[in-house]
Amino acid sequence: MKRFFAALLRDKTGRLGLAGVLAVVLTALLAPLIATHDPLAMTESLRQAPGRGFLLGTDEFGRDVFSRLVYGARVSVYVGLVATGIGALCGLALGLAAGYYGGAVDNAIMRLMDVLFAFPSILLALAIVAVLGPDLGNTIVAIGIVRIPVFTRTVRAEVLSVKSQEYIASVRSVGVRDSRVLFRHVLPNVMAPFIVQTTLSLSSAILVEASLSFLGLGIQPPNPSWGSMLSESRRVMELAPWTAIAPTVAIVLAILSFNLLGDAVRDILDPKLKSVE
Amino acid sequence: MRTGSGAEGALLEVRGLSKHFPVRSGVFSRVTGSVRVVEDVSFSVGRGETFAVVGESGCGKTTAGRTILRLYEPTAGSVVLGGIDLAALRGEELRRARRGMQMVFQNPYGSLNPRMRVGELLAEPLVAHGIAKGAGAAERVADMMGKVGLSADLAGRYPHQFSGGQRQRVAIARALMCSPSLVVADEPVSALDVSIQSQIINLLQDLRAELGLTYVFISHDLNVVRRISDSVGVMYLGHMVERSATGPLFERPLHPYTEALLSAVPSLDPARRKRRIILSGDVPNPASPPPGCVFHPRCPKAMDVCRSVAPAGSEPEPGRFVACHLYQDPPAPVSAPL
Repeated sequence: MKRFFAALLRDKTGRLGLAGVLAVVLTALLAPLIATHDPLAMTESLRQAPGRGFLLGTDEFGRDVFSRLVYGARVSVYVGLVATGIGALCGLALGLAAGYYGGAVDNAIMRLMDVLFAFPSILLALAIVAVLGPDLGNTIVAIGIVRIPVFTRTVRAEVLSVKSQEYIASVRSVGVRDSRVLFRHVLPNVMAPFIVQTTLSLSSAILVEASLSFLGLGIQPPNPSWGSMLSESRRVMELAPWTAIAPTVAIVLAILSFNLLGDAVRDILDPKLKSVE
Repeated sequence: MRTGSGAEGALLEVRGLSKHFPVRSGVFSRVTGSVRVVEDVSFSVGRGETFAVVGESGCGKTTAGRTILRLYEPTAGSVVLGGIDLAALRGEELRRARRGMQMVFQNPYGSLNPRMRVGELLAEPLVAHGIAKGAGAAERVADMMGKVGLSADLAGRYPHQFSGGQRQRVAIARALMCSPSLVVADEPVSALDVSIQSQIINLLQDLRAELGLTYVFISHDLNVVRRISDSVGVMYLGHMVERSATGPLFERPLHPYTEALLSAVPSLDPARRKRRIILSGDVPNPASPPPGCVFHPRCPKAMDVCRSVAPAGSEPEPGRFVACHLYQDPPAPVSAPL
């Protein structure tokens, strides 16, 4: 663990990604301290340009864009983490079962995953939210479900490769129980690609949340989320471009940071996957 | 004479063991054929003896070893270890039976979980069979590490911190942790440096004497086989073509394949140097073996009958079994199972 962080900090990409991710996470955690205004409070200064008083200006209802951005980070981080967590855990369990037991179990699970995978992720998330109804919890569940197939496939593929290793035949020949083989021998050896996949998935979960909120199916107004801020800005984009630019830049930077971190983690944990440079 | 052929007092009795792997093809993965990797192999090993299985790469030796230990499900045949038919065991019964039979794998770099410390790896069989755990297990681990020539201080290290020879010692120690009666050693030294090979062979020999082990020793190294085995089975394309006590087999091989195999062994003694028999052609694909005797396309002594009729086993000399038409009297009334 210590060595992992040392390697992460040695890596330029890793440092940059970690700094960005920490910035987003700290902003989310410390939102009440960082925000200069109440993100929901409307003032009389509508569409005021960035400047004194309002760091990034105000939107069409006179709400402080900076404070809304800061609170929006909360939504992004929360949704990103919890949705990825749901997808990752379900995917891990399904992937382990499919890969380890094979046969009918494998076929049933993987065909179901193929069905989920066949839909574009936004479309699938939209459909799920449309069925469950738009609110924060349902958005998280929808994004989580969308992420399951990716994890299932990653874990299954790795389980299949680990299972064919001689040390698995060797523990089986020793007479170790199946459950112990699975949890003590297979699981630890599939963790590296799983962790890499988790890190890389955070950014897509954040992006899907932003998209859903942009389409009005995620976080409901007046609560701030980067996607809904962007959506609301459409009406006043010519008059107050800062209302569009601020959340856009926030989304880009957050996703870039998570991706950079994911890449760095992958390079450290899974050197096989490292792209040829 | 310890020929390993007598049924009396045999620890391991393998009868008619076959392992076919299905060939699947098409959209629905239907079984369209099978690869007969091990076909009707029989032999027995007396308690405390070493039975060697030799043959070239791909002849099914490893599969035979793994099928004996039920790492693969046998297609047909029985494997009786100490009076219990392993092929009939299911689930938990089989798991418990594994205590008495262990395997040493070919590649010590692949057969040890890279994420577990050596101490944990060695304690695992004890925990799995409820023999000991905690401090009791640690004590046994230290004891066994001493037996295989490793310092007990190394128990906290990971496999990658060991050399190939040391890893194979760990693998051997692990196989012996729960005092098995049978050890199947699948080319235990072929992945090691030549200088290390004899150390490991000597270790296996010493442990056999000390612990009264019975070995099935799978190898393609005929010099090693000659040195350590009591009897030998020669495999070709899944069939055991000849089975005999080690001495007679090396002195005077009966089956043409055995003869060719032995002629390939380099010898320093000019008197022993034989004419090299070079086989032509390649080993046929086991998915579509030739009709008749599987060896006939490459056999220098092939006769007409070999092309159409598979030879039944015969016993031209007491304790020597061979599957070859050369040794079958024309009527061939009695055919001993091979």
